Amino acid sequence: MKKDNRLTNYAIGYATCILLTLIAYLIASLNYYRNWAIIATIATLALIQFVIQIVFFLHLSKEKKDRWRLYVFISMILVVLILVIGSIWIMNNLDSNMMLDQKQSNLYLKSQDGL
Amino acid sequence: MDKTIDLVENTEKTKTYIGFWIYIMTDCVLFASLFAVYAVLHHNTNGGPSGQSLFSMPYALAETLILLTSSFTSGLSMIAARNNHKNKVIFWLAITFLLGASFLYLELHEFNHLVQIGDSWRVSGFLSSYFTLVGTHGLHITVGLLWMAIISLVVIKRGLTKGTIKGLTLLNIFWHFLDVIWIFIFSVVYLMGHIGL
Repeated sequence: MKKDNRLTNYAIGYATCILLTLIAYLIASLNYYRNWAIIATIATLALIQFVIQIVFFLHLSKEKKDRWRLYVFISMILVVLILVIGSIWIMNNLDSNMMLDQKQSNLYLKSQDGL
Repeated sequence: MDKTIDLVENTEKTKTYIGFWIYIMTDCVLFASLFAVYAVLHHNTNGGPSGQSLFSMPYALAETLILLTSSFTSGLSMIAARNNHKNKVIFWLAITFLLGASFLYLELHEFNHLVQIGDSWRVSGFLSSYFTLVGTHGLHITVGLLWMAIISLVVIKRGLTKGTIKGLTLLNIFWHFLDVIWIFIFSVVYLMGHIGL
């Protein structure tokens, strides 16, 4: 009973992931310019595929035996979000608050120590 | 009914399993930091090529499908282990190994190509972060392949014992984890790079 369940899970997970990969690929390859709607779609498809692989391949569930794995997983997600969003936010902020643009800052550096 | 199914289920209750899961979660944090570096640096091409002009989309799709399939066959080997089919375990592990090795070959081929045309990690911040991110994933794949080869030999020699079942279970989640990371490399580096994010 249980083994069939796992096999079905794997088959469903595999088929869905292939489908999501192909959809994301088609969407991306039909577009050559920066478009936020397309980027959001690709990101969403990646996140769906992420959840599917976690559930169907790594068998993470809300069951009692998986409780600890779930807690560690949620902590990981939290750290990852802070790390990635925080880095992008801070670095963009620094970038846009630089008073000199690239050319000016090169000139400044050259005048200071002969870059 | 089957003894091996109990061995698998028992392995999933051990501290080793939780510990290995925690290791995998911290490895996710490692990759997240590399993704953050890539996200910050990927516009800094220093006059060199951008991802849009550099990456071949069908090539990346082929890599993705190969790795996804190897993740699936790795799961099939685990199901065979639960059902105590030693030969099927070896068979699916061998298929997984071949798929993983062809993935690694494609990745190294791409790296070699980039270096040959003069776009190595020295060219720009973008390429440094690209090589670090994808290279770290490739390193994990290499370690996984070595582990897989060793465990196959041990399974051939000793059969499906408590120890080998434990190894197979851990290897299986390690291999799935590598495919999970690849979803994001494929989406962020190749697909979004193609659009020119």
